[in-house]
Amino acid sequence: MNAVADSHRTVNPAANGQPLLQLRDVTKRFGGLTAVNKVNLDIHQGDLHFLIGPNGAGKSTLFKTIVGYHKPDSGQVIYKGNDISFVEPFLRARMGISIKFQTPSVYPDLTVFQNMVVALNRRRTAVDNVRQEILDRLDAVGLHGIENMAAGQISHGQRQWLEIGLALAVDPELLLLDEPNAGMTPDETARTAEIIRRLNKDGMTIIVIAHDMEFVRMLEPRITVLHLGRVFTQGQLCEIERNEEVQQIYLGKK
Amino acid sequence: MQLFGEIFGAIYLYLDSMAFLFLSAVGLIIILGMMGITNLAHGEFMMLGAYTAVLATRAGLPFPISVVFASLMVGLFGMVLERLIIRRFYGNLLQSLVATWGISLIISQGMLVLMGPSLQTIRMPLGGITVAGKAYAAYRLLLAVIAIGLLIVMWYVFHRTKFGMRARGAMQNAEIAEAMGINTSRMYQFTFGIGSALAGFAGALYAPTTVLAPLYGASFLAPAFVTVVVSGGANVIQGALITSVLLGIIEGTSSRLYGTFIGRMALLAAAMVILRVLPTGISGYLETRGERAR
Amino acid sequence: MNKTSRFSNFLNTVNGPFSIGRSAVFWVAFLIVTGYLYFFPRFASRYDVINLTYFMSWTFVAMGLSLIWGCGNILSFGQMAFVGIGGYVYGIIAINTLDAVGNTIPALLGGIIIPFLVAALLGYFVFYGRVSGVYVSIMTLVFTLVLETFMGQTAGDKWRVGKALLGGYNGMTNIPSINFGSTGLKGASLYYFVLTLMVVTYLLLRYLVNSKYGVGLVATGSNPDRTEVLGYNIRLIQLLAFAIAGGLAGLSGVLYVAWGHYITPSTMGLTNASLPVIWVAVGGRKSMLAAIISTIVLQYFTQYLAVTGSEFALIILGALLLIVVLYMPAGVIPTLANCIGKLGSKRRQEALSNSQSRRGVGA
Repeated sequence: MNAVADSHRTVNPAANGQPLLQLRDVTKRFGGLTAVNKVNLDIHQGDLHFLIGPNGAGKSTLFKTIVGYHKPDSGQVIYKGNDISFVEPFLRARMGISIKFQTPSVYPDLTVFQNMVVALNRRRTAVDNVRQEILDRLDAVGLHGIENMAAGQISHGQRQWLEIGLALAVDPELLLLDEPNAGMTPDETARTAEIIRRLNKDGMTIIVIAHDMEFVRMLEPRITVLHLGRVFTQGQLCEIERNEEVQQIYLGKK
Repeated sequence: MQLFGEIFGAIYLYLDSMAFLFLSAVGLIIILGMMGITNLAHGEFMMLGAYTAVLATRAGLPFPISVVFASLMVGLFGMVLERLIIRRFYGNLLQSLVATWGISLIISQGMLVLMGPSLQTIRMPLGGITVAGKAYAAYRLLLAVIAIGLLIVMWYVFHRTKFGMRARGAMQNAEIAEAMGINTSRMYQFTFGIGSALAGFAGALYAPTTVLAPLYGASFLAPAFVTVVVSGGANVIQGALITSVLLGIIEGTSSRLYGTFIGRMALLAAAMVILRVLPTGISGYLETRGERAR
Repeated sequence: MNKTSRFSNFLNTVNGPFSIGRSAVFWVAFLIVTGYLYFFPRFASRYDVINLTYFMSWTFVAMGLSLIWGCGNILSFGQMAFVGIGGYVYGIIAINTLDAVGNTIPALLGGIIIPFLVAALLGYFVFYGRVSGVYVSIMTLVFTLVLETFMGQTAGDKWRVGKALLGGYNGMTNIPSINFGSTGLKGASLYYFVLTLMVVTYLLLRYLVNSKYGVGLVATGSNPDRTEVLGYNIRLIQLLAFAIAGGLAGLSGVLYVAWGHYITPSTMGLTNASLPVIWVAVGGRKSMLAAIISTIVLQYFTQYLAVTGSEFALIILGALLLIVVLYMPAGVIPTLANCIGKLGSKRRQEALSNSQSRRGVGA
C-alpha cells in the first residue's frame, strides 16, 4: 500500500515548550518481572508517536501506567506539568487522557448507540441533542447504519472502531491507541490509518502501539522502540528502519 | 500448676478455633479455592455429611466408620451434582453462585420435609479430660489433631502425587492440560467429588457437637467463606493453614476476653480489614512478596 | 428551562433507552394495571387487600436488588439484612417516639436512612477495597448471617433501646403502624400508601437508570475498566447504587413491620435471604417491573402452597431458581415478552411482505 505522507505533523505548538506527557524513569514490576524499566519519554502537544517492539516489550503495561491502571513502582508520570503517578484512572480520563485497549473493550450487551451514549453521557446536558451527535461521531469512525446492533455482535474490526469512537467521545487531548489495527484486513487498516491521520491533523496528540510495520509506514510517525521494558532507541521511521539492531530484535537474534 | 492450667486452656481454645475454621473450609478450599466455583451449597454438603453419619451410627455402625461412610456418600452426591448441574456453570461465576444457592435451598428444605426440624444427635465420643482441675472435651482435641493430619494429607495429595499435580494443572489452565492429554472433564468431576467428600467429612466430624437441623450448615458457611476468601492466592492449602491460624488466634483471643459472639464478630472484622489492605488475600500477598524476593 | 419542558425531560428520561418496556402498548398496559390496583379495595375482600399490601411491601427490596444486580451486575445476598435493619430501626424509633411526636415519620425516615448508611459503609469496604464479582456476594451473605446471629443474642432486659426490647430470637413485638398524625395506617389506607409508594418508586428508579448516573451504573456493570477510563468514578457509582438498594430494602422492612407489628432475626436468616434473589432472578433482573410482578406472583404462589398444607413451597422456589438459571438466564418475564414481541413482529413482517408482493414490490 502506498502511503503518501504529506508530512503535516504539527510540531509542538506549545509556546512554553513543555511536553504534554512526560515519563521520567517509570518502572513497573510484577512479582519478579520488570515489565517497564526506567522508561523516559516526552510527548509534545500535537505529536503522533508510535511505540513498537516485540511481544513482552512492556508497551501495553506502559499504556496502563499512563492511564492509571498500574501505579509505577518508581519514577513519575507527568501530564501538563503535574505529577499524576498516583491519580485515579477516572480523574486522568477527566484530565483528557483516553485509551483504546489492546483487546476491544466495549459494552457487548449494549447497542452501538447505547455504547456512545455511555461515552458522551458524562458531559451531556440535554437528552435530545445527543442523537445526531452520536450518529455523526459513528460516521466519523466509519460506523454507519449499525447503531442498533448489539456491540457484542458486530465484527472485530467494527468493534475496534467503536472503541476508538468511545475513546474519542470524551474529546481527549491525549489519545492512546493500543494496536488499533489488530485483526483488521488491509483495507480496514488503511481506513484506521486515515482516521488517525485526520485526528492528528486536527491537533490531537496520539500515541499508538503497533506491531504491523506496514501500518506504521502509512503514518510516518516518530517512533520509540521498546525492548525488554527499556527504551531501545528513538527516531523517525526511516532511521528506525535502517537501524540494524532493531531489525535483529524483531528477527529474534538478540 | 495454675500456670500450666492457664496455658493448656489457652492452647485448647486456640486449637479449637483454628480447627473449626480449617475444617469448615476444607471442602470449599478445593471447590472454590482450586476450581473457582462459589459453592453456596457448601453448608448443605456438610449438613448431609452430618445427617448421614448420625443415621449410620444410629443404625449400628461405629462412629469413625460412619464418618468415612458419610464422606463417601457426600462425595458421590457431589460427583452426580457436578455432572448434572455444576459443569454448566464453569467460568460463569455469578450464575454458579445463583445455581448453587438454589441447590442449597432445595437440599435444606428437602431435609426439613424428610427428617423434620431437628435430629437427635449422638453423644460426643471420648468424654472429657481434666487438666489442672478444669474439664476439657477430648473430642475437640482430637478434631484439632485430625485437622492437622488432613492438612498434611491434602498437601501431599495435591503437591506430591501425580493425580494432584494433574488436577491443579487442569484447574489452572484447562486448555493446556487438555492438550497434554489430561481428561479435564473427568478431572473436574473427580476434584469436585473430593471437595464434596471433604465437606461431608467435616460436617460429620462436627455432628456430635451440636443439635442437628436442616440449617446445620449455615453456621459453617460464614467461617468457611471467610477462611477461603481471606486466604486467596493459588496456594490454597498453605493459604488456608496460615489463615486458619491467624484468624483462629484473633477469634480465640477475643472469645477468651469477651465471649464467643464477640469472637465471631472480631473474626469478621479482621477479615474485612485484611481484605481491605490485601485485596489478593494473605496467600496472594505472600506469593507476590516471594516472587519479589527471588 | 420552564416547567413543562422539565417535566417532558423527566418523562423522556423515564422512557430512556436503558429501560425495558418503552412502547406505547407497554404504557397503556401499565396504566390499566395501575388503575385496576387503585380500584382493587373497592371490590376485593379486606383479607385480599391486606394480603396484597403485604406482597407489595416486598417489591421495594426487589426493585433495589434489580437496580444493583440487573443494572450494576452486583449480586447481593445481603438485602434481607437491610430489610432487618430497616424493620428494627423503625420499631425502635416508633416505639420510643410515637407518644411524644404523635406520628411515625421519624421512624419511617430512620428505617430508610439508617440502612442506606449501613449499606454505604459496607459498600465502602467492598468497592473501595476493590473486592469484585462473587466476593461481593459472599461478603454480603456473611454480613446477613452475622447480623442474624447478633440480633439472635439480644434476648433479655440488657438489650433495650429506650422502651423497645430487641428480644433475641423471639424478636421485637408491638411495633406501631405507620402514623402520619391522626391514626395508624391500616387496611385500605395502608394499601393505598404502599401502592402509591411502589408506583412512585418504580418511576423514580426508571428515571434514575436512564439518568446520567444510571447510565454510568449500567456501564460499570457491563465493563468497569472501559467505564473508568471514560471518566466515571465507578467506585462511587457502585457504592451509591448499593446504598440506594439498602435504603429500598429498609423501606420494605419498615412496611413489613408496620404491617405485622413484629420482627424476628429469622427475617435475616439464610432461607429468607434467598427470597429477593429468587424473586428478581425468576422475574428477570434487568427489568424493575418484572421484579415487581414476580415478587407479588411468587408470594401468592408460596402462600397458596402453605395454605393448602404443602411443605414444598421453598423446594419449588429453589427448583424454579435453578431452572431459570439453567434455561432462562434473562428471567421468565423478559423471555416471555420477547417471544410475544417476536411473534408480533413476525406477523407484522408477514403482513408487510404480503402487501408488498401484492403490489409487486417484493424482491
